[in-house]
Amino acid sequence: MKKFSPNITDGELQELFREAAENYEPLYSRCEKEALWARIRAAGRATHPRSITKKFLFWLPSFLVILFLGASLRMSDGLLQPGKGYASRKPEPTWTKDREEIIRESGPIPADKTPGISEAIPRRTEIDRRRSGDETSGIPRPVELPVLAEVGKGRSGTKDRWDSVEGGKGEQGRAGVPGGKGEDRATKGAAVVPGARSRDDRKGWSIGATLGTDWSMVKNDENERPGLDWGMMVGYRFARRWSVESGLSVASKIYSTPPQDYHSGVSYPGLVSVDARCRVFDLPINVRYDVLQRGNSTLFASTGLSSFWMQKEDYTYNINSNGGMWISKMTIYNRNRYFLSIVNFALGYEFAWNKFSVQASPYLKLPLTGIGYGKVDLKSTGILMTLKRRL
Amino acid sequence: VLPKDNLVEILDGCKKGVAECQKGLYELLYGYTLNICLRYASTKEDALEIMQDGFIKIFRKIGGFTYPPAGDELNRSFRSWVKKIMTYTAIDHLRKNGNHFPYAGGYQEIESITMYYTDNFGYSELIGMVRQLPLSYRWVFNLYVIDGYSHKEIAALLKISESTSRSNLAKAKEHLRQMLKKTNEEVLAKYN
Repeated sequence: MKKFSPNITDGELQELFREAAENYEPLYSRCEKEALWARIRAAGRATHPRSITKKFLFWLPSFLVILFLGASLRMSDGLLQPGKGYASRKPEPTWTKDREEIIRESGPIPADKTPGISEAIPRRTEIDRRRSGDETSGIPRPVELPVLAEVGKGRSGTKDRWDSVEGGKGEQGRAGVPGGKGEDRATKGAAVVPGARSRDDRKGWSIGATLGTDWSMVKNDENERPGLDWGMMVGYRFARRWSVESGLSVASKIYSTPPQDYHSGVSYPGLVSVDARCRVFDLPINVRYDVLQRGNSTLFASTGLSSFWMQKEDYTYNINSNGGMWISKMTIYNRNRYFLSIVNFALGYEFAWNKFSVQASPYLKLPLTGIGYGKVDLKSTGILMTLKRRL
Repeated sequence: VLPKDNLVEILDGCKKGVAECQKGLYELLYGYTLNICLRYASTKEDALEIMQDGFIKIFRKIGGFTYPPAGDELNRSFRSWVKKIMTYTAIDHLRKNGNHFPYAGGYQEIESITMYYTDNFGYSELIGMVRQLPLSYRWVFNLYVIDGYSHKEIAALLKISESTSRSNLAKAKEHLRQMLKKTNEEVLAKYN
């Protein structure tokens, strides 16, 4: 340190204190340092950029995938052309030619031996009528070929095509065969359009298993570790696009919250943060609407309410006292239950084959009431994978 | 002095929001920022609150910190950036707690300070003197003498006039001179 005299000049005085400020090393304890870091983390804002990034990175790909699949489906349907946007639907000029070619190749058809054909061939008029309407805007064209080909060449080779489109066991392949199981359906016209008929056929029950991630957060303070969400579901499709789904899942909800967001009604002097790890039984009941249905792919949105049964609540209290950090733990079993108190939102994509389907759906759960012992505003998000089977 | 190689790595990690790098930066800057905050705050608890808010701002704004072209400048440039954030946070903290910067007339009674001629403890005592200055003197002295702000900048920051800033600085210096004189007399009396 520089020596100074009582008559120190302004310049010397400034230099003296500037040097002291540059070289001063304040004393501090390790506990004090850790306590402050805990406070910064507890405020939930130290990791703010990461939270934003994580949320962004989580949601953006999900929506991009859904948009891409939606666009792909529409393109495959001829509604959207790459680089041209939406195209107006025109009657297919090759349709008649193909049909005539097929008939020519099949040879003349005895009318008395092929009663099914009389419905099959004139179906063009019916299909044209249907195609001009809104109802069949999504009907895939090539599915007509197997029926017509079957007339002249028998059933061989057509079954697979039907299976690949319909996902059934070939019963549509028998549509044009007199006395076949599908005859009635075929003669109604709807049967020749597998895409349309299959949706009606899918009415009924389904069951499935679910597995996914659960990112829980209090207000907007996202935690760094996701929990696991697994369980089973049951669904019932009651209309072509509408279904209702329920089930039971076990979710691990892991979060950290500052004391101001934790309302247990008990005062904890020096409380810096609360870390929680809860095991929750989630009983949702959701209504699902299929926004887009094309072939085996479906884009859907669902919403509904969940009931929570807090089976186990583990809380760790981080307390700053006497310059040191202290930890206090508490576990609660089966104390808090919430009936239809959480709102669910989800978007998703489902791919079906035969009676099975797999779906991926990003979701968001928003509480209508305080959750758990601390009555926290516990939001959850994540992505849920489901393997389903139609019954 | 912050380690240069580590600093680049840590800053890159902080920009990506990696928690370990944020903790690493906190470890590196703790002493440096505590030094700054103690000079501005009245109590240590206030200093820690300022540090907490300051670090949160650092982590939020670190994406906007651009590296200087020359690597050697990084340390100085980053320290300067951190110091600026901590200083502004301290001013915000003061405003948030209802403190203003009135013109402080007259002198407060100065407590006796014992000065020892060991370097670090001497620095500590000198900083202790600064912390004993009345609020309005202390802030202007810190901003002008130690952190290098001009009177015009100080007037804008603290919402006072430039003449008040000059006046407070002069009184702060006089105050410190008195403290040094008193300490010097005590030390001389002790060793004579």
